[in-house]
This record gives sequence, structure tokens and C-alpha cells, in this order.
Amino acid sequence: MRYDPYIKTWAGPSRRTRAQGLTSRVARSLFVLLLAGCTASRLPEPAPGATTPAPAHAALERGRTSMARGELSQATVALREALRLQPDLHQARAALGLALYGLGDFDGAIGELRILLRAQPAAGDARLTLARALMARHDWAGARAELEQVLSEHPDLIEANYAAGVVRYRLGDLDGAIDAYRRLLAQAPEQPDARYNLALMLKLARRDAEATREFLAAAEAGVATAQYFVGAAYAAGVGTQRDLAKAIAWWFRAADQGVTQAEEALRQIRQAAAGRGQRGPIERAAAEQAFRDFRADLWKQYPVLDESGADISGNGDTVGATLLRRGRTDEAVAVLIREACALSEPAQRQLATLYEQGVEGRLPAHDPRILAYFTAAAAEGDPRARIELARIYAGGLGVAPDLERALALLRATPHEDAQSLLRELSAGLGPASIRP
Amino acid sequence: MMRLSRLAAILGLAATLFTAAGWALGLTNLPALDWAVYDYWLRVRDPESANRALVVVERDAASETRFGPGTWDRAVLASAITSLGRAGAATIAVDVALGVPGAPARGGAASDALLAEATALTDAVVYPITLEPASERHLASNGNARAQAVTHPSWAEMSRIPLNLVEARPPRGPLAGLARHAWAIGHTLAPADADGVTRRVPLFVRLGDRAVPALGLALAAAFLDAELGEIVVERGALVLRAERDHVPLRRIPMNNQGQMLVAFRGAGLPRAVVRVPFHELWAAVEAGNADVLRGLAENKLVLVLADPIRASGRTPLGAMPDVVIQAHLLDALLDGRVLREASPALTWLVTLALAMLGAWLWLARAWWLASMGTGVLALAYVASLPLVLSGAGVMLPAGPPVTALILAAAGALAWNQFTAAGRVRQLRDENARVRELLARQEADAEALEEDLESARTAAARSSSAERELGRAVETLRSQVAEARTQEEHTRRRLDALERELHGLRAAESPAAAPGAPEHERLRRECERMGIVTADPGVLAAFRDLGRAAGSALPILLLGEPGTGKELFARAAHRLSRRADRPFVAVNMAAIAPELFESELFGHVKGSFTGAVADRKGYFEQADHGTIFLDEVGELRPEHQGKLLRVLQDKTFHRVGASRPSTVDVRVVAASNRDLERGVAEGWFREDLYFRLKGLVLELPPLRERPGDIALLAPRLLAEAAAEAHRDGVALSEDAVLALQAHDWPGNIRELQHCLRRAVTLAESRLIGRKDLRLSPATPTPPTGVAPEREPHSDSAVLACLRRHGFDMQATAGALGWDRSTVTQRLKGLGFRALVQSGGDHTRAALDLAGDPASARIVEVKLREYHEHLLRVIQAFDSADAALGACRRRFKNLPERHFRSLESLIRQHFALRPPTAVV
Repeated sequence: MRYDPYIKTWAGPSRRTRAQGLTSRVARSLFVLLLAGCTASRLPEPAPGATTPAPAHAALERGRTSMARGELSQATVALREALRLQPDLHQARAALGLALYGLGDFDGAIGELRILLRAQPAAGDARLTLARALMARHDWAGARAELEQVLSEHPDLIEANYAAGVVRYRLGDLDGAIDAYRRLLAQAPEQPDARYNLALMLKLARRDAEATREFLAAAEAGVATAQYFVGAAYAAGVGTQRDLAKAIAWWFRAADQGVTQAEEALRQIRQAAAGRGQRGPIERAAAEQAFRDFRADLWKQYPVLDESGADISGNGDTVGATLLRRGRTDEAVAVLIREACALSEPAQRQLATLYEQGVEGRLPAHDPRILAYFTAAAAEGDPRARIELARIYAGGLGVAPDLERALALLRATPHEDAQSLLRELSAGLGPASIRP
Repeated sequence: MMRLSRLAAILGLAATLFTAAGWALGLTNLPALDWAVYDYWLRVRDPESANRALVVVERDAASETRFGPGTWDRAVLASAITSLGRAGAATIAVDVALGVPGAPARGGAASDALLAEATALTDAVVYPITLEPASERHLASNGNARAQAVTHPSWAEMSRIPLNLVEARPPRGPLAGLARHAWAIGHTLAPADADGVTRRVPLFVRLGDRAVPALGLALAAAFLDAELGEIVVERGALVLRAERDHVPLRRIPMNNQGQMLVAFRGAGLPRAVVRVPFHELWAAVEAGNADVLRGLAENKLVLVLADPIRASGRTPLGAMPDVVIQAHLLDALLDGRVLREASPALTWLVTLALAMLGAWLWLARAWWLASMGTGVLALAYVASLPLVLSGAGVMLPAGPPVTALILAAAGALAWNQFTAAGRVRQLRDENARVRELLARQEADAEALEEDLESARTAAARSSSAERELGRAVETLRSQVAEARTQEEHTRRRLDALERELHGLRAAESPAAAPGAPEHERLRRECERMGIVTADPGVLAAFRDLGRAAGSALPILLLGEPGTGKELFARAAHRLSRRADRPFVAVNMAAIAPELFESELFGHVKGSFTGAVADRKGYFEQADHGTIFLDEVGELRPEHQGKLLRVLQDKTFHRVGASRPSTVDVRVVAASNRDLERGVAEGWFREDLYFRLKGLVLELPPLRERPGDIALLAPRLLAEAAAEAHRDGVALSEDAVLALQAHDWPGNIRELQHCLRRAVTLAESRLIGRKDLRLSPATPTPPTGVAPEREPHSDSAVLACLRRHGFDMQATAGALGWDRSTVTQRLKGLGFRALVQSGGDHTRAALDLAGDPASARIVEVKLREYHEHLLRVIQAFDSADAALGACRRRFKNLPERHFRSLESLIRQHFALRPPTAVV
């Protein structure tokens, strides 16, 4: 699929918008299908013995071969030659339309396909390609008209239903889009992209309970943004039982895939748990409990740690520390960061130690992952993270020494330890260079 | 004053009503003027600092580099909203195109859902919706049905809003899903005025059965925790009430279409809002920097302008995106300092006041003062508009008050014109009545004085009846005093009437000085006829000439030599219907006596020696034209009879002819001699005199009109210079003064010769006093001294009386006599006229007055004189006795008039029945 600029256009490799990736995959598969259909010549082949000039056929074959190799430019040359020799050679025109579409020459493709469809109105594949080309040209109304015609003849055509969902939404027809996705899923229930899109439609239509079900299915299939929405549904109790711990878990999964909204949601709930912001005490307690529950649930992901049979989850130890002790250092750092992000102070302290000292032979000091964590946590306003970061900058631990930054961090932290460190650092520098 | 005030009020009201009607029809609506003032004020004012609670996050170049051109992925906005919400932003507005779902290349439905999720979680997000004004056609088709499908909980039901709102066209699709989670949705519609400039924003627009609030209003309501779904309208203002306890928070003035005037504070975004580039916000969002975000947004109203500009409008301060216009609205609402358009009541009250003032000015003041006053009033009003805007925040319209002011002024002017004519007529009548009364009182006073004088004489002669006569003298004296007092009173009243009349005439023609057009017209007409003058007396004579020119009335021109009699005669011809026929001028003094008949009437061949052929006389030559008989006073008596016959019969015999000739000629005669005196002295036939004096015009000598010297001299000088071939000759100021001081017994002819001489002899081109070589001035008799030998003839006195409307006092002043002398002269003339008219007072008065306008006054005086005479003589038995008494009583009457007096007395006694002799 290296030759498909349309796919690139449609679905850039954004980490944030999983939907685009999904759309990309669907488009890609659609193109393969179309290409396969084209090369398999769904259009009626000339009857045996018909007076098809041999050179035209030869050119058609050359074109098909080039397309199969992904050499679309050569393919168009051969196919145009075939059409020159025999203008009514529909297979050549259909292939040319597809090749032009693949090259990103949407106007050319639309032109060729319209000519073909005037002669062969029942050519469903060509019409579907035409609809996609029109979509690429943002001619949503035109695309819808073509798609409706395709669906009237083939109501269960997966690709057509998917495209119809996109087009209908684009035209503001939420119900129509939901209908299209449902038809598609009736035919292919294992299409997570379609399910995710259906969930989006349902959410935008404020049919939250239905949306949550569909989001959950898509999230479990690995759709990152769906995971965020599932987290949001658990957090708000929309379409499901309110469960902040589950919300946190889903958000962590989404954040791992780069969904910034999930990161932000976690940040927000951490603020609530830390008593920062404008949340009330009940909300704070709920957030704290949710993080505790989340951290407890982490143990369940590592049953091997519990092979001794002792319940170590309740003894104040962390999963990361346990992993560290077991020598699973890389895994341990990631888990410790996760636990620290879930407001585990022990994990945070262990991270500080790990950053400053490392683990001999297994983890060098000044691990950048740990520094990134402290930086992010400090930005969120976590006092411990700020103190630690101040130490790092004051001591030049893995970074260029930056005493001013260290002092600024400490000054902005109304914590006893921070002020104590601030005094220490100020005393070391002398009164002239330290502002009170 | 009260009457004027009432009239001004009526005119002002009428002008206001007219303006209101014009306003309703769009004729007097002058938005260009109204808005010119308003726009100017917006541009020059220095607005006070705006509300610092408003933070605007703007799309910037760095962000465009990051997120691409065009519409951004809405997931970005979702993150921004979530972060701002977490940072404690009180209200967030994000400028996204609600009607358009997210583009697939920009996140599509996923990003829309993220934005919806962020919107729902934050619960303080307000979105704009782009609406268009609905056309009539659209409304008639499918507008309402679709509009009902598009709604939001923040939109109030129309049934609760007593306003005639602007109708909006619903968006093409249903409201996007994300919009449903918003706290409110506000429109960005800002229809432009007729001149294409947006100054007002509809606080609500109608969308089906719902009222969509303006984005600025929705944001203000969200920020102030005000309710938006329940709209309260009180006395032309929208009342924003607190959601919790319904306490009024803001009163927002608006017009009946729910539109509010926006006080733009600076071009672009409101001047004092906090502006943050989007990339700075995004950096804080990405870093999760809570401190920065809190500092930016905590308890603030954050407006995120992330989308490219979709629509913009032209405002008084330049082009602005619709959302920025809403930012100005929001700024004003948060600040609480809103502008309001004057209510209709205030507008029309101001209009009425201004119109009444304008009308009063034109009714009560002179036209020039009223013009200036109206201009000042209009300018002052327009200049005060910015002050009212700054001080009271009220925008008064300029159009209706100024229009009404002009209309009221025009109405008052028309009223003045309309009523002035009638008032002038009324005053003229009253003036005539008062003049008549004055004439009567003057005559009475004179009679009483004569009686008093007579009684004094009698008392001096008769010592026996001294006491009785003394009482009579005292009585008469008091009567005289009373008569004089009454006369003085009447005179004052006359003066007042004259002044009022003068004022009204001035009001009748405010564009020029009173009488000036007529004077100027006559002057030009005279000039066209070759008569150069600006003298009112000459112009009046010319006016009379013009009136009489069309008739066959004979014209008698009197005046000293060189006063322009022939020019007047020619003018009489040219102004008549005979203008294209011959004009024959005959100098009677230049005709040899023996040739008189031959010259005037012609002769036939052989009628006398030398008559070798038939010859037409002057009369025949002038047939159907005009004959000008100059120096007619020089005619010999025998020739006067021949001339009289021709004038009577229009027939004559050529010398030697047996058959008469008939002619149709208009006779204009002229003389520098006093023909009346000639009649009195017997050297001019009375019947010929009366035949000639159809219209008598006396042309004043040049010395009596020195103003004309200044006009004539340059012309005559130029003619003289041309004759002498001397260019560039001019008169010095001193020379002109000398000319004006000279007596000019030879009048214009003498002046002409004087200037010719000066041009010829002067060494310099500038003619000075010495070059004129004028003889020393003749000393004039001192004023007030009675002439010993009547240097002023009766005709001169009569002319002077005519010029002064037979006002004795004025005439006496002009002649330098005392009033009694003038009275005696008029009395004598009156007696003579009575004799000539056979006792017909009216005819006699008309003859004396020369002008029907003055005839009535003269008739009154004549009657008074005559009645007094009759009273004096009624005690006598015989005419001789009465005549003797009259000689004593009327001792100041000129001797020549005693003939007429005698005739009257004898006539009276002849008609009186004989009294019984006891």
C-alpha cells in the first residue's frame, strides 16, 4: 500500500486520533478489495470469440499487472493505451479509474468512472470507487448519492455502509450514520472501527447507554480513544455503574496509547485526590479511594508476584518495588511510574532513589523516564515531585545544573520540606543571589 | 409674545408630525448623519479600561504551524477546554463551526465526540452558531418546520418574549451533537445598517419558536450566573436576573427588535482584554502546567478563537470577525456601561423642542438673525450628540430633530410670508386712517390757531369785550394745545405703524433689503432708457411714467433745463404701444413764430412763397406715434390756441389746405417754467394747461439729488474722455465731493460740459477739484426763514408735499419753513383747485395729489380747510364782509390765492339763501 496517497491523506499516523487510524485501515482494506475486484474483472469479460482487438487486451493486461505490482503510473499508461485502441473496453476504464484514484488524481478518476457508469450503470465497484473519490474531493452530497445507489442494490455491502456512515455524519445525518454502521456490524460484528464509529454516533446523539456498550466493545478491541470514552463513562456513571477505579484503569490504558484527553482526565482526578482545585472533600475521598483501588488492582495483573502465597499487596509495598526485587528492572520502572501516577508515595520515593542511584548493573542512574515523570508531576503541582525535581536541578543530576529553576520550584511549593530545602540552598549560595 | 409662542408651538408640532410621517416612510431618516456622529465619536473617544475578566485566546502563527491551516482537529480544542475547566475558568467559549461536523482529516466524529465529552465535563462551555437572516421567501417555504427541529435548552420560548425579533434562517442540518452538551449556544448574527456598517447586535434572534441569544449575551449570562431561558423585558430593556435568586444583575437597553447598540472599544478585540496566543495555552496544556493555567483562566471568562475567520462585518472601527463583534458586546455587558438609543418618546420630544425653538426664532426675530440662530441650533445639536453619548450613554438621532428644525423654520417663514401680505394690507389701511385723522387734526389745529390769532386781534382791538374775548382766547388756547397733543399722539402712532409696516415688508422679502428689488428694477429700467439715477424721486417719477405710458394720457414734464425731460419723453414713447412708430421732438422755443403753423401742421404746395411742395408738419410726421413738445411754456398765446385746438379735436388744416387733416398722436409736453404760475399770471392758457397736464412729472434738479452726481460723473467723464481721445482719465475723490457740493443750475447738461472742459484742460489724468473750475457756490437762505419773494414756486412746494405724502411737518422740514407757511401754501393751492374743479372736493384733491394714493389725505385737508372757511364766513351777511374778514384771518395766505378764495366766498354767498334783514 505504499502507493496510496489517499490513505495517507485520509489517515495520517496520528497517535491521538485512533479513529483516523481505524479509518485508514478500513480505507486500505477497501482499496485492496477494489483492486482485487478490478484485477479479478468483476465487469463482464468479453465473450469468447468476440472481436476484441488483441493489442487492446494486451494493454489491459499490462495495466492490470502494473497495478498488481503497485506501479500505478505505468498502469495508467497501459490502460489509456488500451482505451485508445478500444474505447468501449470497460474493464480498462474501470481499472484506469481505480489507478487514478490510487494515484490521488481524484478528478481524473471521477471523470473516467462517470464515463464508465454511463455505459455500465450496474458497475457497483466502480460506483463505490467514485463515491470514495467524491469523498476525497469533499463532495459529500455527491458521494452520498452514489453510495445510496450502491446500497440500494447491495444493502449489506460492508465498504459501502462504512463509507455511508462517514458521509451521512458529515452531512449531519446522525441517525443515518448509526443505521449504516449497524448494518455493517450486522454483517461483520468483529469490526472494531465500525463499532467505535457507531459508539461515537450514539454519543453525539446523546444515546449514552448504547454508546457506552459500543465503546466498551471497541475499547476491549484496543481502540485507544474508545478506552478514554469508556473511562469517561465509568467516571460519570453514564451508561454503566460509576466506578472511578475502572475509569482510571481505562484512562491509563488510553494514555499509554497517547490519548491526551486521558492524560488530562488522570491529571484532573489526581488534582481532586490531592485536594487541589475546586473539588469538595467527598470528591477528594472518592478520588483517593479510586487510586488506592487501582493500585490494588495492579497486583492482579502480576499474579506471579504472589506465588509465595503471601498477600503482599497490603503491606505497603509496591508492585514496582516487588518487581525490582525480582530483578525485573525495566518492568519495575514502568510500574513504579504508573503507581506514582496513581498517587503512590512509596513508589514516588522509590523512583527518586532509582533516579539518583540507579540499580547497579541493571539500571543506570538518571533514567529519563523517571525525570519525565517528576517533571510532569511537578507541573501538576505535586509538592514531592517538585522537591525532588528541585534537588535534581540543584544538584545537576542527569541535567545541566539550574539552581534558579530549583529555587523557583521550591518557592512555588508551600511545603515544609520544600522551604527547608530552599533555606539550605539559599544558605549555600549566600544572601545576595537568593531572593527571599 | 404669548401668541408667538403658541404659533411656534403649533408650527413645531406640525413640523414634528411631518418629520415623523417622513420617518415612517423613510424620507427623513438620515442614518448617514446619525451614524456619522456616532462613528466619529467611537473613533475619537478614549474608552475606559474594559473588564479584565475577559481573556481571549487567539489563533496564532505558531499554532498554525503546529495544527495546520484551516480548521483544527477538535480534539485539540477538547483538550484546551478540559484544561481551562480544570484551571477554574468560569466560562469558556470556543469558536467552532457548529453546523459543520468535524472533517474526517481533522479527527472527524471522534474529535467531535471528544469535544462533546469535554464540553459535558466542563459544563461551562458556550458555543457560537452561525445563522443567517431569514428572507421572506424562506420563511414562506420551509423555514419554521426545520427551525423547530433545531433547538437548545438555553433558547427561550418565543411566546415569552414581547419583542419583534430578527428572524434567522435555521442551519442546514440538525444541531451538532457536541452542541447539545453546551451550557448555551449564542448566535453571531450582526446585521448591518443600510450603509453596510454593523453597529447593533440583536440580543436575540428568532429561530422557529425559540429565541437564540447573542453569543456575547449568552457568555455574559453564563459568567454572571444569570438565567437565560427566562427572559424578562422591562421598559425597553432586557433584565438579566441571577439564576439562584432572580435578583436583577444587568439592565440591557435595546430597541423593539431586541437590538443593542455596541460601544466598540478599539479596532479588533476590545482594547483592554487579556490576549493570549493559542500556542502559549497549548504549551501549558501539554505540560499540564496547573499554575500557568490557573493564572490564565481562574475565575475568568475565556474566549478561544481557534477557527479561521468564517464571517466578518464592517464596523465603525473597521472590519471585524462576527465573533469579535460579539466580544465587544460581551465586554460592554460585563462592564455594565452600555449605550442605548434614545427612546422614541425622547427622540420626538427633543425633535419637538428643537422644532418649536426654530419656529419661534423665525416668527420672532429678523430673518438674518433667525437664519443664524437656526444654523447655530442645528450645529449645536449635532455637536452635543457626542457629549450626550459620553455623558449619558444615550444616542440621540440627528436626522429627525434637524429635519424638523428645518421644516419648522420653513413653515415659520412661509407663515411670515403668508401673513405679512395681509398684515401689510391691514396696516396700510390703518395707516391711511391715521393719516387721515392726522390731516384732520392738523387742519383743526391750524384752524384753531387761526381762530386764536383772530380772537387775540379782536381782543386787542376791543377793550369792552376784553374779558369775554380773553376767556375765548384761553379756551381756544387750550383747544389748540389739546389739538396739538392729539396730533402728536396720532403722529407717534403713525410712526409706530410705519415701523411695523417696514418690518413686515422686510419679512416679506428676507433675502434682500426692503424695497431693494423694486428700486433696483426701476434703476435698471431707467438705465435701459438712458436715465442714470438712483434717486427715489426720479425713480418714482419713472415708475409713474411707466404706468401711464400705456394709456393715451398726456404727460407734462416739468423741471429745470438739463434735468432729462427729453429722456423721459422718449422713455414714455418707448414704453408705450407706439414704440415702433415715430417719435418727433419739437422745441417750441426754436420755431420761428411765422413758421409755427407750417412747421407743426405742414403746408400745401403754393400756399405761400417758398412752398414749392407739399410738406407734412410735425403732427403728421408723428401720426400714430408720439410728439414731444419741449419748452411748451415758450409758446405765444396765439399759438397756444392753435395747439389747443389740435389737442382737442386731433384735426388741423395744413397751411393752404382746404380740408382738415386728422392725426393720432400722443402728446408729451415739457417746460422749465411754472405753467401754473403762467396760468395764474395769465401768460399761459389755463385750458391748454389742463389739456396738457394728464400726468405731471416734476423732475428734480441735480442739486437735489447729489447721489446721482456720483453715478453720472464717471459715465459722463468716460464719454468726454472718449471724445477727447484721452484714456485712463479719472476723477479724484476731492473732485467728486466738489461736484456734489456744486449747485448745478444747468443740471446734467452743465455737469457734462464741466467734465468735458476738465478732460480737455486737465494736465493730469487724475482730475482734481481745480480742474473742474467750478464757480463758487450760491449761498442758500438760512433754514426757517420765510422766502421773501417765493423762491419756491407753488409747483415746487406741491412736488415737495407730494414727495412727503402731504405731511405738513415733513414737508416743512424739507423746505426749511415752518409748518404754518406750508399749510397756508397748501390751503391756497387747495382753494384754487376747488375753484378749478367747480367745488368738487374729490377731483380737486386728485388734481393736487397727482397720485390716487394721496388723494384721500388731500381731500380730507381740503374739506377741513373749506369747512373752516365756511365756518368763518357763515357769520357774515355779505360776500364782501366775509372777504374782508378772511383777508384779516388768512393774512398769511399768498396774495395770488385770494382770487380763488374770493371765488369760493362769492360762490358760497351766491348759493346761500338770503337771510332776513332785521
